[in-house]
Amino acid sequence: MRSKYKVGLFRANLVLGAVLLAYQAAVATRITDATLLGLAAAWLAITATVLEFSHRHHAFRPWLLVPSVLLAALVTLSADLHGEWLWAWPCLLILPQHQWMLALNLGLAAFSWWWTLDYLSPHHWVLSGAILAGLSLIAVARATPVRQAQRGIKLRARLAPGLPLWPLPQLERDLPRESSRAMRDGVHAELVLIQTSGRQLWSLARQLCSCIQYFENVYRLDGRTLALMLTSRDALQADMRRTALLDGLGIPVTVRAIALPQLESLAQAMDALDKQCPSTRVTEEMPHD
Amino acid sequence: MTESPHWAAGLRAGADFLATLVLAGISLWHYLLGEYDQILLPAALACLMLVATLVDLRQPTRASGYLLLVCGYLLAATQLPALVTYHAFWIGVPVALTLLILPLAPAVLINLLMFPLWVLVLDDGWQQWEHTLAYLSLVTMTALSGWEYLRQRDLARATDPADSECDAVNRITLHERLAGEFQRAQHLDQRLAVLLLHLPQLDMASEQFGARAQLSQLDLLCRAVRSHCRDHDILGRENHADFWLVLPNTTESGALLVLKRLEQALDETRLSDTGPLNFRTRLCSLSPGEPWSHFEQRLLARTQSLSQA
Repeated sequence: MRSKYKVGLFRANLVLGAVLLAYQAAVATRITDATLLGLAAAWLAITATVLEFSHRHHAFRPWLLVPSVLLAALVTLSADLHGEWLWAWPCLLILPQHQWMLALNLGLAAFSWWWTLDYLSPHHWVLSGAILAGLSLIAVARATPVRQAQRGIKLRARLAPGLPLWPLPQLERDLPRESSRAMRDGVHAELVLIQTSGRQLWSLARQLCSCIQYFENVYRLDGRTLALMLTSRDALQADMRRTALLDGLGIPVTVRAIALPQLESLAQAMDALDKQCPSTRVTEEMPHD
Repeated sequence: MTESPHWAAGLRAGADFLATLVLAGISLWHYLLGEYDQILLPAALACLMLVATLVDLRQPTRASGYLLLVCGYLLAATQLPALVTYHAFWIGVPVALTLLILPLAPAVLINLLMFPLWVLVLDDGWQQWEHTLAYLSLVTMTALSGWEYLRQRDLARATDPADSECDAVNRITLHERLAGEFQRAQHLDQRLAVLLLHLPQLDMASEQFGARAQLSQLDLLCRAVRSHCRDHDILGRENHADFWLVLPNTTESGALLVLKRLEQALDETRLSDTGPLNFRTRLCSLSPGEPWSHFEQRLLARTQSLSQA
């Protein structure tokens, strides 16, 4: 792999940060400081335990709001003791993030700076504002190319390194190609939609990825639905493979299998899956003539 | 990986300009207070930063970042000792600035190394345990954002199947997809052919005509393949100048037809710098019963001989 990224070191840094903040929370004299620092320490500790090298937590935005809100609260509520945390804002802005999140962080940073007016003398306040603005500009300029690249990559990238697990746009691109290819090669291709609870989605995805052949792929359609493209010699082999695969799962799932020539649209198939009773298996076979 | 858009460079120049204003403001402040001996340094740095701003407007360079960093440190070292009450507040600026400009590891190292120096420079009033703890926590916390930045960047790289320069899949994905097609051929009793393509002029093009000529050669090849091959044929970049075109369910004669079509298409188009795109090819098809490792080794050996021919 090209990536030499070390999640372990990041995790160690998170834990170290949590310990430092927890200590500060313990010795803090004011109850608000202690609460805020304690919450931040807890956030870091929890992040350290759930951290992993995949796109899984990208979708979970509210979690990323917590440090912004805590930082703003810390700087505004106790500027006299924790004023230096104002300079952590540019470091939050360096992260590639959504447009609205960026706007929110910029707003909160400006707000925190405004509140240091009581604590700093006016000329220091103006100077700190100018420097904060300059640092923020550098941070945004550095985050921009990564964000731009990510926007394109997210539409086509696999969701975790090494797993054949892809996002929905990739399935939309693959469907017509696989369909015409199966027709040309005279083989049986089918789309299997699998629904489970959101909590078990990723363990299910990992299981499916380990069961399929190298040339097949798993797609994540939404928070609880996965799709699987199975290619077999004929309908009989497809049936056997699908049954064996689903029997080995050990997680209650709702399944809908559609042979590719039968598939009219993905949205229709998803609707039909939603109307299905839980833990049922429906197969839309090709009509026999 | 990708070029930053034009306005991101503008942001950078804006930051430089703000730094110039800050430095000029500080010199003016000293002038108004009558501290004439302290004017020289900020004024000189302001002139330097103004030049850096103009340079950054044309083409952002790494040097202007370093200049900004040096300015920040010089200013902090000269101005801070006089501001006893605000030490804890202002000491955060160099910490954040270092992290924003340098990569993570050097930034953290410098921040930690600077710590004893700050204690020395800010001789009295800043040796209380409270401030030490604040400084260390700030270094730790700012480093976290550096980690997350790296995580997102590397994650994007590790999960992107495409090559960074052209519309072909990268080497890792190519080998995965090829293994998949190999298994599919076995699973469905089909043929598999791989066309090895070598572009001998690629390096020469970049040496003589620059990176743009190289990119247009790559682009020409990828577009020819896209328009003359089937949707499910896979074009992958094996290494710098070698490409593998994986043709599933294709016999040797079918692959030769594909090759002929490609040659015709590439013969017709001429690039402005380098003329028609030269390429060497070799066909490699899967023999029945051949194991995967043998097939892969055969492909690698033929690619090597092709590029050395």
